[in-house]
Amino acid sequence: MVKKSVAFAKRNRKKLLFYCAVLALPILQFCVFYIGVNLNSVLLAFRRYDFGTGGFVWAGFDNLEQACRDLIELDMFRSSTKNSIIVFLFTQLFGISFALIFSYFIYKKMTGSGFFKVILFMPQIVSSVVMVIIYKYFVERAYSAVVEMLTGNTAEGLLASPDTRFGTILFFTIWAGFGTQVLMYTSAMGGISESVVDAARIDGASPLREFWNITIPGVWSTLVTFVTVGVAHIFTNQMNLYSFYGTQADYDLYTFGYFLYKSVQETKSMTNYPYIASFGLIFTVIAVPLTFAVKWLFERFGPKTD
Amino acid sequence: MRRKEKGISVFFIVVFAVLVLYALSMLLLLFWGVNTSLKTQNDFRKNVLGLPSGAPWNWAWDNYVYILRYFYVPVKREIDGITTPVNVGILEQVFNTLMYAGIGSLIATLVPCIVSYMAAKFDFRFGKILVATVIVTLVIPIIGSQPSEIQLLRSLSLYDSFLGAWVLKFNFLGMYFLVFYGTFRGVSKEYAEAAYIDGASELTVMLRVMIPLVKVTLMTVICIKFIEFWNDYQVPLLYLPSHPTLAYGVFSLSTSSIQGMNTVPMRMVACVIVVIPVLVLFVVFRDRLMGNVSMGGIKE
Repeated sequence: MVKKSVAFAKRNRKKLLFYCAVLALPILQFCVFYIGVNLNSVLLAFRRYDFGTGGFVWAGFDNLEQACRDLIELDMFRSSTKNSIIVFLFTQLFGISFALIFSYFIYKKMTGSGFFKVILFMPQIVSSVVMVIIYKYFVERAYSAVVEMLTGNTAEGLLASPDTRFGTILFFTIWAGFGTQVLMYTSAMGGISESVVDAARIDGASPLREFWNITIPGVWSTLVTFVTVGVAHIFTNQMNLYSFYGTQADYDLYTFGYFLYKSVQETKSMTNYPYIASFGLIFTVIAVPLTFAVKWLFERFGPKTD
Repeated sequence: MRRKEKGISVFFIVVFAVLVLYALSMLLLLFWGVNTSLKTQNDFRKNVLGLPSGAPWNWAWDNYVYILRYFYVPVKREIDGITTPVNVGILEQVFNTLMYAGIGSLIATLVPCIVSYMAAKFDFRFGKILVATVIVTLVIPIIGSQPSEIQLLRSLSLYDSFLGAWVLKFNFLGMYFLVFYGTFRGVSKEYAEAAYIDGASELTVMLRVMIPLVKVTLMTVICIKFIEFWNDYQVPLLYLPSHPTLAYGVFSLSTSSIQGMNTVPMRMVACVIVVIPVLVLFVVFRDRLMGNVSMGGIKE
C-alpha cells in the first residue's frame, strides 16, 4: 500500500515537472509579450521621449490631453470618427446579414451551394493586397472603359472621384469579407436539431420563416461572438486603406485603424510612440465597456434558443 | 448529414440570384487581373477590357519572365553599423516568405496545440486559468500596442529579425487554442492510460500518442495559418522591414516607380505569381480548409 502511494506520488511529481517544463516558455512569452507589452503600452501613454537622455521620461497626462484635443479639433480625426462608425455599422449590418443568408443557402444545400462556398471563401485565400490591387485598377480603368464604351463619354474612375471613392472602398470591404463568417455560420447551422427543422416543415413553415424563427436563434451565440469581437473593429478596421493608398490616403478617408497602423509604420524613431500609445489607451478604454455592453444587450434581448 | 432541400421558394431564388451576381463579380475581377497580366503596356492602354492582342502564343508571357528576373524590393539594412540601401530580389523574397510563413505557421499552431493539451488532459487547476485567460483576451480588445511591442523587440535586439517574428508567433492565445482544447477534451484518456501502463513517459504520450490523434486538426490549422501568413504583408512591413516577403513585395510594387515595373500589367503579374502557390494549396486541401471549424474541433 505504502509502496503504491510512493509510486503514485513519484508519478505525480514527474507529471508536475513535465507540466511546468512544457508550459514555462509559452507562459514566459505571454508574460513578456502580452502582459508586459500592454502594461508598457499604458505606461508609454504617460511618457515622452527625452532627446537629452535618449530615453523616455514621465510626462503626466500631456499625451492624453493632446490626443483628446486632437480627436476633437482636427479634421483628420473628425473624418476618422465618422468613417470608422460608418464602416462598423455597414460591415455589421450588411456583412453579417448577407453572411447569414448565404450561409443558410449553403446549409440547405441548394443548387450550387458548394461552388458558392468556394467563391465566398476566395478572398480569404487570395491575399488582401492582391485583391485590392486588382480591384483598384478594375474600378479605375475597366469601369472608365465600360462607361466610355456604353455612353461615348470619358468617365472618371470610381476611386478618382471624391464622391464615389469612400463608397467604392466600403463596398470592397464588405464584398471581400464574407469567407470566415460563412464558414462559421454554416458550421453552427449544422448543429441545429433536425427534428426541430422537420417539425417546422410539417407545420408548413416557409424557408424564410424557418430562417427567422429557427436558424437565427440556433446560431445566435455564434452571431453574438462575431458582433462582440467586431466592436473593437471600430478602432482597428483599416478599411484596406493601407493596401489602396499606402501612407498617402486623404484625410477624408481615414479610419482609426488606418491612422494607428500608418502612424506606427511611418514613425522611424521612437519619439512619436507615446502619442500613438495614448490613442491606443483611449480607444481601449472606450472599446472594453462598449464590447461588454453590446454582448449584454444581444444576450438580454436576443432570441432564447430553448 | 442534412438532406438537400427539395422545394424552391422565392426566397431561395432571390438568394441564388444574388450569389450568382457575387460569383460573377469575383470571377470577372480575377479573370480581368490575369488577362491584364498578359498584355503589354501599350496593348493595355489601347485595350483595357478585351483579350490581349494577337494569338495566345504572342501574348506578353515575357512579363512573367521579366518580373521573375528583375523584380526587387528596395530596403535599407544596417551593415556594419551603416544604413545601406539593398535590393531584395524575388528568390530572397521567396526565402523570407518561407521563413516567415512556413516556420511561423508551425510555431503558431504547435504552441496553442501543446498548451491546450496541457490544459485539457492534466488535472491541475492552472489549466482552468489558462482557458479563462484565452477567453478573456479574446473578448477584451486591446488596441494600439504595436509601439510598445516594437520598443520591446528593439530593446531585446529582436526587431527586424526572423527570430523576433517567431517569438511573436510563439503565443497560445486565440481561437485555435479553443479549437484544440475542444478536440483534446473529446479524445478518450484510455489511449494515454494504456501508454502509461506500457511505461511511456509524459513526453512520449504527448508526442507519440495524443498529438497524432489530433493530426487532422493540426494539419488544417497549419494550412490556415500558412495561408494567412503567406498573404500577410502588414506584419512583415512593420516587424521585418528589411526582409520583404512576397506579399510585402507585391505591396511595394503597387506603389513603386521603378522603370519597367510601374505598369498595370506588371503589377498584375506580381499578383498572379503570389496567388498561385496558395491557390494550389487550397485546391489540394480544399475540403480540409473549408471543413467546419468549431470550438469542439474540426468536423469531418
